[in-house]
Amino acid sequence: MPRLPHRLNVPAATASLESVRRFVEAHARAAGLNDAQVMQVVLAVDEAAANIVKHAYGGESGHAFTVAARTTTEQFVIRLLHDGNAFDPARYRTPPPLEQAAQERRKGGLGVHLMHRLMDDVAFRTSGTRSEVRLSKKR
Amino acid sequence: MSNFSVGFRTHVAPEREVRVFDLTGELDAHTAAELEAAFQKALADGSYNLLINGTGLVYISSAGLGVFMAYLEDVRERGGDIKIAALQPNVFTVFDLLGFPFLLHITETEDEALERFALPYEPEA
Repeated sequence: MPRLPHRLNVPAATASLESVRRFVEAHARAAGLNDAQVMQVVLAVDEAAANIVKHAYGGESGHAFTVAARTTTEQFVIRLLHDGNAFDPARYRTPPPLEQAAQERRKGGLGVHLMHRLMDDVAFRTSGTRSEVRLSKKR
Repeated sequence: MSNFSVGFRTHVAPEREVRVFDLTGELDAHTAAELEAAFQKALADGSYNLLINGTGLVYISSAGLGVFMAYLEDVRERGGDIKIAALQPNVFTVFDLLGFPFLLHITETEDEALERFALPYEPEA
């Protein structure tokens, strides 16, 4: 039977990223993921959370977001819930080759790419003002 | 409170001076600004040979990698380079996943990286 999700509510600030990582690491380990899988999930969630802080809320203070961890028989699932600007996957472009990115002195743009590389499934959903990033890893 | 810090050393070789950055802790979207400030200081001082020692670095996200991407061309245009040494395996995995070994020298030891400042960067096949 799937268990009820564990939840963490944090201010939408980069200072929250460390506690998001600790929360995800603890629950990924409890779900029985191995060291490499734990590292992958922690990094993918960190990237998603950093994007919420920087893009969904544009770095504005006074907002919060929720991280929910749930373990089913087959998967470990993390959902990040926020009411900031929704990410539109249709407008997402794969980042250019690394050499070109360096020539253009790009600092960002690798987060979504990394999430897809690290997880089995990445989904973005929006309903009204609520948006969700759902990251899942097979157990 | 940040668990990340940047230590500075200067390594003086016969023909060049290399600024060594000892990174400790977790480099993420919160702490990347500290590394960026350290790079900006080095460039302002006219130091373009930048060596990262990752012995104490336990975590990196794309925001940390972005600092290397943002400054690599600036230092190369001035005849310098960014080289990375002594990464822990978990951290190297993230660099590797995004193809960084094709963009800059990543060596096992600091000495190896120091020697490579004598050579122009050429991607390894």
